[in-house]
This record gives sequence, C-alpha cells and structure tokens, in this order.
Amino acid sequence: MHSDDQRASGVPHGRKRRGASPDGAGRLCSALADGCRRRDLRTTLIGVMIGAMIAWLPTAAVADATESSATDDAPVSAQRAVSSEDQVSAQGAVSAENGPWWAFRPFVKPLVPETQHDDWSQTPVDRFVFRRLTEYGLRPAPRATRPALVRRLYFGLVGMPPTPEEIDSFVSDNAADAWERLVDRLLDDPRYGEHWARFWLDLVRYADSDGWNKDAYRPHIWRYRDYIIRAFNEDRPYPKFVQDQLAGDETAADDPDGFVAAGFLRLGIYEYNQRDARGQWDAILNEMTDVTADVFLGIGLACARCHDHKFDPLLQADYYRLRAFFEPIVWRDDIPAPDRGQSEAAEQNLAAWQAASRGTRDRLEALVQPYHARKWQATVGKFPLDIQACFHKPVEQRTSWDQQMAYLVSRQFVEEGGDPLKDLSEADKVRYAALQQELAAFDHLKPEPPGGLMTVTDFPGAVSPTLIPDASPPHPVAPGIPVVLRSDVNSNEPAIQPAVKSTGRRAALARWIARTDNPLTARVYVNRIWQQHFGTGLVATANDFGKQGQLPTHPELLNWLTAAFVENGWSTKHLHRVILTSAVWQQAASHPDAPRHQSLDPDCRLLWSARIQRLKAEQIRDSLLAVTGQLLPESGGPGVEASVPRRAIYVRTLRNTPDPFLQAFDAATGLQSVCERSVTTTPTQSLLLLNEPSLIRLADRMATSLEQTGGADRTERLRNAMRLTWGRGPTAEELAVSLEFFAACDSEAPQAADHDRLADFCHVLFNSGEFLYVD
Amino acid sequence: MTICALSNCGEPDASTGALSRREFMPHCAGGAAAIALNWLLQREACGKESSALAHHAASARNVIWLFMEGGPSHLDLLDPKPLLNQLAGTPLPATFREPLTAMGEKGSPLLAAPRRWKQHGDSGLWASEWIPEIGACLDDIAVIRSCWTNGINHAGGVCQMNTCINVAGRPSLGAWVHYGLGASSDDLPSFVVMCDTAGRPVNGSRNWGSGFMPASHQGVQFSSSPDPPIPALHPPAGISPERQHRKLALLKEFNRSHAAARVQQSELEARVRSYELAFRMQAHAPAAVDLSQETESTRVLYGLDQKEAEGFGRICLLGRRLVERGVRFVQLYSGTGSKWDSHTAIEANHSQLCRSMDRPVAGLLQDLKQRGLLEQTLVIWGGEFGRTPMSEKGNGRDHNPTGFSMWMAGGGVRGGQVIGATDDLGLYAVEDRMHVRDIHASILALLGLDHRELTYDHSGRPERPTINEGEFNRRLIGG
Repeated sequence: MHSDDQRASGVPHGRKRRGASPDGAGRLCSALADGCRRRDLRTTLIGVMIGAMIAWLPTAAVADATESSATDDAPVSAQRAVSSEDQVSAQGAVSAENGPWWAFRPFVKPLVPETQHDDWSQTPVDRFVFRRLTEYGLRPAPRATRPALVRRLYFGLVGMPPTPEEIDSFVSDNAADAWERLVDRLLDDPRYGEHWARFWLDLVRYADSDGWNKDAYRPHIWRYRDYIIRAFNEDRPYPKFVQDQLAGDETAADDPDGFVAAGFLRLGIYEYNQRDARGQWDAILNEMTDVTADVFLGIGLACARCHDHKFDPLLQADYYRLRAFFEPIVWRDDIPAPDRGQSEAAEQNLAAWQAASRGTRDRLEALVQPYHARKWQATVGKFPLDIQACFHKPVEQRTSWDQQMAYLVSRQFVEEGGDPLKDLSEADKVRYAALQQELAAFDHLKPEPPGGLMTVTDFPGAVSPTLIPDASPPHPVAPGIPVVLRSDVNSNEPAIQPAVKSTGRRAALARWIARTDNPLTARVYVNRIWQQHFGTGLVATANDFGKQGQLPTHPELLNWLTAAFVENGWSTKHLHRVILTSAVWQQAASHPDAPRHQSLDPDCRLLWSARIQRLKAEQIRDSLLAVTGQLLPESGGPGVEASVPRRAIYVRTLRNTPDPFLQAFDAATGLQSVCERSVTTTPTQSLLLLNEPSLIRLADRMATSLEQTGGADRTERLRNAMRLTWGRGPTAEELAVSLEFFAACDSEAPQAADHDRLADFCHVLFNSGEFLYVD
Repeated sequence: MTICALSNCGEPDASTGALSRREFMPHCAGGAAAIALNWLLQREACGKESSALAHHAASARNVIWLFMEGGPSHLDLLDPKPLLNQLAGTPLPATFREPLTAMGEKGSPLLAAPRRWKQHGDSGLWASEWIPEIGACLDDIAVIRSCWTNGINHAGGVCQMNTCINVAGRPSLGAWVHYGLGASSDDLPSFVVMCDTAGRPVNGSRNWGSGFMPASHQGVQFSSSPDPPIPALHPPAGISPERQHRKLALLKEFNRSHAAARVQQSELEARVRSYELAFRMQAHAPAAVDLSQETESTRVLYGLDQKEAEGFGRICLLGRRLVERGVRFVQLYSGTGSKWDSHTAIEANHSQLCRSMDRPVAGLLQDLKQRGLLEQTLVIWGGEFGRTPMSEKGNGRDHNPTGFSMWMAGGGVRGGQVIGATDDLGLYAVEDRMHVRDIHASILALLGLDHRELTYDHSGRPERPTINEGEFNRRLIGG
C-alpha cells in the first residue's frame, strides 16, 4: 500500500513538469464528445508528449496508453466490441500486480508517520506534509503573523474581512486555545454557510435563470441556494447532503428541505420553445448524469456517453446504468414551498376562498375555455407527431418518457406564444372584465399564493427503458454502478427499494454514493474542502480522479483525512478544524529560502509555503460593502439585483446576463460544473475597480464614515482606512507616501474638498493588492 | 504558477524541442493561484507575432466575422432554386424527408423565392437582387452552399455557430484563437465584438465567452458609439485627469511595495502591469473607434450616408479600423437580436435587412482590398442557419439547420467559387457538406492552427475547439 501510494503520487520534478496533466499522453475524449474519433489519438500519443510524460505515470497507466496506441486505427465499433464488461473485470485481475487505479482502491487509514527532527508539526496532517517535504530536502515556511492569520481565517471561513476590533481581540488573546476558539466561533457564524455554499453552487452550476434564448428568471430556485447555505451552517452529514439532493423528494414527508434540496435535479438549462422535446429531454438527462458523476464521484463519466472510456475502466454501459437512476424523473412545479407551521391555515383559507368564489370562477372558466382550447391545439400541434401522441395519451397509460414529453409540451402553453386570451372577442372582453371584477370582490378571502418549488418526483407509472444509443441490438440497461466499482467480496450494487411515491432508484443511488466503502465519494469531497483552503486540491483535478486527472501529491494524507472525515460522522466542520489547526495551513506566504524551493517545486505542490490568494469575485464585492459599512446583514430569500448591497451569494445569477463586476473577477456562469475557478488578472478588472461609479460612491461613503468616527485628523483617518481594508495600519513608509498624496492634492488642487481627497484615498485602497489578496 | 510557465515561453523545451505556449497554458489555468494575464503578459512573454505560435503557415492574420443573426434565407440570396418556384404552393414532395422544424408547422406548402438573379464578375457566381453590391464582389468570395448545423432554435444555433456545439458552456471560436495565438495588440483587446444596434444577441455575451477557459480569452464587446466603447474605460465625469493620475501614482506605490514584500508571488507584478495596460487602453481605444478620422468617401463606401445601412456600416468600418490596429478577431452582428428571423413576411424583412447589410459588407471588402488588407483578413459571412423552402404562416420561412449558405473572402481564400450544394429545393446540404465543425476547422486552418493540435486541458480532459471532429475544406484555398 505504502509503496504503491508513493509511486502513484504526483511529485514535483522541477520545471519541466506540466502541472495540469501528468498524463498528457493521448487523452482524446472530450466532455461533450459527440463523436470522438480515435484517429486523434495518433496525434497526441506519438511524439514528444508520451516521452515527456512517461516518468509521471504509474506503470499501469503507461501500459494502458501504449496498448491504446497500438490499436490506434481500430474503428470505434471494434473497440467497443473488445471492451466488454468481462474485460474490465479481467483488467482488475490482470493488473493485480499493480493494483487497480488508486482512486478505485478503498481508503485505509494509514499510520501517521513518525517524523525526525520535526519541530514544526502540530497535527497529524503536518507530519504527512513534513515527511514529503524532507524527502525533497524542503523546509516549511514559518508560521504567519497573527494578524495575517486572522485575516486569512476570516476570508477562508466567512468570506469577509475581520474588523480591526476582531483582529485586535485575537492578536491580544494569549490563551493557548485562542486559535481553536476563533475557528469554532467562525464555524458557528451564519456567514460561514453563505461563504461555503458558493463553491458548491459553482459545482452544481447553480443559476437563477433558464439559460438559452429567453433566459427566464426562476422565481423559486433560490430556496435551493438557501438550503445549501443552511446545510453548511447545520453541518449536515455528507451522506444526508447527498441524499437530500439526489432523492430529497422521497424524504420530504419527514424533512421540509427534501423537495427543496431535490432542486439539484432542476439546475440544468432549459429552453422554453424547443420543439425537439425528445432531444431536449435527452440532453437534460445526460447532463444530469454528467454532473452527478463529476460532483459526487469525481469521475469524467461524460467521456463514456458515446464510447467506452479510453483511459479509465468506464464503459459506455456504465454511463447508461447511471443515467437509468434518473430515468423515471418528472419535473414538478406544483409542490408548495415548505411553509413551516402555517400550511394548514393556508389550506383552510384557500378552501374558503374557493368555496366563496366558485360560481364566478366557473363562469370565467366557461368563458375562457374555447380560447384556451385553441391555444392548446396550436401549442401541441407544433410538436412532432409522436410527441403529440404522448400528450394526448391519458396519464394512466403513459410511460415515464411519455409523461416527460407531455410535461415539456404543457410548459409551452404557458411559456410560449403569448396570452391565450389576446384574441378575446369584443363581447367576451366585456364579460371577462366584469367577471374579473366580480372575482376581485373575494380577494379579501384569498390567501397569499404559496411559493412554488422547482423540484422533482418519480413518475408513478411504467418506467421507460434506458437504452444505449446505437447499441445493436438495443436492450434496456438497468440502474447500476460502474463495473469497476463493484465489490468482489460482497455485493455493493445499490438495493433499490420502491417507496410509496417513487421507484426508489435515486435514493438507492444516493445510498450507494455515500457508502463508507465507496472509494471515491469521501475522497473527492475531502479533496474539495482541502482545495478551497489551499487553492489547489491534493488531487489538482478535483472533478476527475481518473487517469486523465492528476495524481494526489499526498496520497496517504488524503487517505488519512478521508478516513478521519468518515470516522467523525462525515462532518465538514470537523474537517475544517483538522485543516485549520495544522501548521501547514498556518504557514506564512513567504519563505526565507524561496528561490531554492521554487526551483524544486515551482507550483508549491508540496506545501512548503502558503500561497497568496486573490479574493474571489464575491469576496471582493462583499468586502467592499463591508469595509464601507454598506452591507445589509439580511440573509436568505429571493435573489436581488446587483445594486442591492447584500452579499453576492444573494445576487441573482442570470446565465445570459451575468453581473459585469462578478464576471470580470471570474465568477462561475452556471453553465457547466466549475470545480476550480480561473484567476485572471485583466485590464478589464483594473478599469472596473478604477472607474466604475459604484466603487467611487462606496469610497465616498467610506470617507464620510471615517470623518464621523474614524478619528479627528487626517493621519488618524487614513490609518483607520488602512486597518479596515488591509487589516493592518501603515508602515512608516506607507504613511509617508500617503501623506505625500494628500500634500500633492493640497498643492495641486487646493480648491478640492478634503472629503474628496479622503474618498480618493479610500478608492486607491480598494484597488490595492493588499486589499485584493490574502496572504 | 503561471509566471514560472511564462518564463519558459518561447524557449524550446529540451526534452521535447517543441514546447509551445499552447502546451503549457493549460498548466496556467490548472494551477490554483494560476493567472492568465490578458493580452499584456502573453504578448510580453511570447512575442507579438502570431506565426511564432501557429501550427503551420497562416494565410489569414485577422478575421472579421459578419454574423447575420436570426438566419438569412440562402434561397433568396445565394442559392437559387428554380424547382422551388415551379413547385411553390404544393407540399414538400414525398421524396424529401420532412425535417423537424422550430415552429412545427406541418405540411406547409413550398414558398417561392421571387428573386431576380444575376451572374457576377468573371466567375459568374449568382447573387439575388437583394445583395447587388456583394454580388459585385463575388470574384473575391467563396460561397459555401452546403453548410449544416444541429440546433433548430436560435439559442442553440447561435451557440453552435460560435462554440461548435449547441450545448452551452464551451469557448467561442474567437476565444480559442486567442488562446492558440496569444495576444495580437499592445493597446487593444485581440477579440472584439460589436452589434449593429443597441440590442443584444441571443445568449448574450457568452457567444464570445471563453467557456471553461479563463476569462482573459473572451471577446470584449465594444459599443458602436465612441463614448465610451468599453464600459468603465474612463473615470466618471468630474474626475480630472490630474486627479486620476495622483490616485494611480499612489496606487503604484502601494502595489509596488506590496509586491516587493512578496517576491515569491509573481502574479502581483501582473496586477501592477494590468493597470498600466488599462491606462494604455484608455488612451488608444477611443481613437480606434473615432470615425471622424475617416474621409467622406470612405463613409459613403460603407453606407454611412444611408439611414438603413448606417448601423451596420458603422461597425463594419470600425471593424476595419480595429483590424488595422492589430485586433485579430472581430465579430460583427447584423440584425442583432434575431432580426433576420423571418417566420412571416420574409419579403419585407429580408429586403430591409439586406439594404442594411449589402452596402456595408461590400464596402468593407472593397476597402480592405484597396488597403491591401484583404489578403490577410478573412471575412466570414453567415447566420446560425438558413431558412426552409417550405412556407410558414403563408409568407415566411422557418429555420433550416440542414442546409444553408455562408461565404468567406480574403485571408487566402480563393474567391469566385462555389463550394458544395443543397438539394433541388435547398432543404438539405447534399454535396461537399460542411458542418459547423468543418467551418471552424477551416477558419482555424487559415489562421495557421490545426484544430486537432489545439488542446486545452479542462478537468483533466483535453478539449479541442471542434470537439475532435471537423476537417479543413481545402477547396477554400483552391486545393
């Protein structure tokens, strides 16, 4: 185990190493491969890359790659024929000497290494890191200063800067457990969930709009976002978190969050006027399958949609087995939001209104019926004939696929082609207006409509078969897990237990995903949490633990953390504590012997120093609002316009019209799962920070506030402005250049108001590296 | 870290002899604190000449893509079909497979294309009465009559024409070119997009987005009015240049000392320089879009004297000015917001839109030619799909993704030729078919990039601009 792990680890080899992909050799599958061609393999396999990369690959991977190149020109069909399930199982047997791919092996908690001459390690985590460092003759950086640590911790846990008072209180706290208490306090801070929800929302491509042409606002999906915030704040055990999102509808009777969390299955994009209903639904289910594999399992299963995976032992059949769990899904828009404690009263009110207004409503219904009928006819008539047949079938005769088609057709009655009543005859218009007036007389009885949900359930009738496209002969594929993950010892196939209103397929999937013996789930999640804290995961490709991804830099540490996470009830907050109390997390961002360390490990993958991190888009916005005293502390609720000074997590994300500021700083767009944001440095960012009027207004507010409470004189005020934005006061030199700035203003623009100078100074601070980066 | 990688730039790797920027850029994007500087650092580190990074000799250095948004009718512009007029009023013959259409009208009769057609120039290529000016340029144009795509709707179609697939989230072609060739200008973005009206194209800015690549590769939208062409280019009114300068001077002090205390973290240096570049943009972008520097005859050439043509003419002229200043990839939207979409009354719709587009496009081609820029500038014309031979609502046409026309000129393309053909009614592409993937592969090839060699590592997967498909159609260059 130990030696395997050592060999499989992605160690740094100096500059020639290319970080993104030790296996640059011959990866040809594309996430959206709609017909990958094997021919491409030739161009990537031959030549320089494989030679350069071979050193990085464990023996088994090299063997795979070489074999593939030998069959380079084999047609795809032939390739499919030879890579049967038997072969995948056989591959496991044959490769026994090398063992299966590391990520498919069970994680076993390793012994914490005994380290020599180690005056640095504080926790087991550190000893794993220290051992790797010493193997390469590297030394860890010293501990960061207390003010630097507290600022890093606030951004890391609550996504916002500490106030000067909060910094002081920690810096002057000499108790031995001061750090642990601060960590605990911030984990209990409700802002923690608001910050940590963001990476999850990136992963699940959350947005508040449909995408595509109309990009309609989704008025209810924010409840899913609030659920994620709540789940992090409550430290929901990860298996429950998985279960909620994949099959919350089944537990909705016991858990008001169930239907809300199942909104996960509604997050994909949707096109309101797509007449190719078959194609649209196929794309929706495929994308649901892809995202599930990416997010929960960290395997690039999308590659297997069109053919057996080239480098991982994943079969095309595996793809459709996974998809089959989702086959019976129907989208539901008629389930009211959980209205805790008040639903009975609301129902009674509704019944009272319905009873009182029945006569009027019946007459209205009779009036509009022919108009509606006409629109229904037009709506349905635009679809291909087989889709129309699904719609016309009585529900009890429909299969799940028929129902899905009928649903897509029905939505277009509402969403497309305008108001069915736009053609009311003159006489009917008059009658209609009169009836509306009559109905309005009952408005005092009418309860507020319950907020709707975007959620799913399973179709109660026959489930349509899942078929592999172009398979010959076509045969239905049953829900199941990838062959490579089947246990030889005891069956770990998900046991599907039908529930009252569900096939139970998704619940079974969720249970299997979160099984303790699933080698991927906990590792993938632990790696994501590590990645959020350090910028890069122990596996740098957080969504791909397969052979196309990177190897872990610290495989044993990853195993140890994973085991510790599972042992501690899959508690995310526990994991945070383990990481945040380590010496490795608390290192300074500068190393006394940086040049030598950089030459050996330019990417700092062995963690010999902390790395500065640019604030994420949301952190920049939130910080700007916080340090200027403008941030509204409200939490939860429907998304707001970007102009409302609330935390960025509450700003509506519209897929086609992202907020320009957040977009410029690399916010996710909600189109694809994002496991790691780009960090760009662009002149667009500089222009926005320099010239965007809203920033200039914020600087003006900050100046006003400093004038009121930030001290009596200029020096005091600018000192406080720096403490607010940078988390520290100025050095003597910084104070001098600041005062020079004011002096230049005084002499060059004597007529300008002192207030404007202070505002300009604050605005410069917003642009400064010290504000935008965390050490 | 990116900077480490950048320092390698341009130096052949000892072990491979051929480490190009393309190969380590994925590294830049993959690393945690990785940054991808916009054009500045790429240019500084790698040199400005795109050919240094190309896979093979390029015939085109620039692209101006004229995007007719909404889908113009090939049947009424470039692909005459006598049989259509003969069968007008009757249903689609049974020998033609009825396609799935966006608006779903079933069994609608064929709609005549009552155009006067004319053969032009030495090549004798056909153009209809609606585009006489473009017709006069046909000797420089290769008309592709056999284009096809997948999306039946605008959103999918426009998405696919820009990103190669009708599924949202991939990088646009302009972003791939920027990624592949690096920055092309000192003072301006390399990839600029403009629209003929204040409207917004279907899908918005993600049509020129960078998908899973860093945002530094995405297109920058210029507004067609000069004040200002880019949002936040200038400080708000009331902030004098001196005042801005004082602020920038202080900022530079702060950022320099911040970076100096963190020599290990080289991306801070990039942030310092991004302000210098922003400053240069402030100086150069307004001049680039200042049409007062153009002569009256040039303005007339682009149709700026005609009310209908003024909107698109203006951005065509701006396109030329940007290309002259080193912008590599320009995309110009005509009929922004699906205006070419003509489900009803195609006669009124298309005759008006053609008047808004014909003179500017022809003017652009003539102007590029007379300035010697056409040889190195690939001009692409087309929509996200064409239109059906079947009628819709009596006098319109529905979307036709299965066969439509585009054209290319300049940038090494051999003009005066027709590539491919649709069937006798113009419904399906049947000869020398060119899928969007082939079109993108061809554009990349003309720019010196091989669509199979250009890869970007995303989540451990090597992504390619044409999704592992597509072929360069060498007939474009006379092959």
